[in-house]
Amino acid sequence: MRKSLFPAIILILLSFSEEAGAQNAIINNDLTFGDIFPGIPKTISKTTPGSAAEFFISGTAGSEITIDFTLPTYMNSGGNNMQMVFHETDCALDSSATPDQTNPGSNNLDPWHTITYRLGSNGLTVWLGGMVIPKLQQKQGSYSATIVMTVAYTGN
Amino acid sequence: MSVRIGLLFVLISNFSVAAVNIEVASSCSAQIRVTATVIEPIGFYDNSTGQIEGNIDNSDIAIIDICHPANAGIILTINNYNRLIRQYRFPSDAGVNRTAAFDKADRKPISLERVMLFPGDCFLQDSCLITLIYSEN
Repeated sequence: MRKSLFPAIILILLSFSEEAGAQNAIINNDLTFGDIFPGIPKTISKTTPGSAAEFFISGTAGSEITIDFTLPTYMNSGGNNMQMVFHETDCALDSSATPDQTNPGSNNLDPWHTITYRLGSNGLTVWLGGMVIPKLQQKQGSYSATIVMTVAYTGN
Repeated sequence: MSVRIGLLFVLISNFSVAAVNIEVASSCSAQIRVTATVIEPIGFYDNSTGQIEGNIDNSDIAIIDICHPANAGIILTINNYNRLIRQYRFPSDAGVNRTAAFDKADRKPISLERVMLFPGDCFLQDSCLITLIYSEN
């Protein structure tokens, strides 16, 4: 009885240890709209290098992960707000060794819903675009907001 | 027997540590910053209100200088009391275009463009309303 118990315990421990690989998300670029003129909406495409948000996710190759965004609806500057819009196609992913922002492996993904992806050996690069809608009487100033991205293993 | 018990203890200890590590490594989050800078219209040269009122008699030609951010498209509209008289789209419709002038106040690069307003533009009214709006980013 005891002899059969030891291999079982070892197998259980090994199965847990396999999923203990570290996971990390590195921000390569913030979402930057630059200069905005009152009354004129401006869109930053997810395929625009240097302006679209870009981050890199590393973790255990072959593991399935989920990506969730908490997206703002306004940017703020003091007491002033400016509306933001994220469309259902504003996110893109690429897990290749040479990620191509202009032609990503997975394109037009919905940042409002959970994105499920299986990590490759090269990690995963994520891009996010968006749109800002200033009012005609939008007050001048530097506006900002925060997007939170959460990545989690699914265990699959 | 004691060796086996010791081994079991070590394995159970590792199990506990591994379980904690799984919790720590199973998810992570990152905060991305979104930034934008809103620029207000600069408006008409030496007139920050965005409106000019003045009389144009049969022989005069009014000259309006407009300054605005150099990388912004703008539309200038001229209205009398009843309707739109003329609309200019800059920079393509500019009569005289002097670019890269400098705002006296903060020395930001701006465009300075000139519109000539003829008597017919006001339809013999005493005054007309001129407005300036952005057309594109």
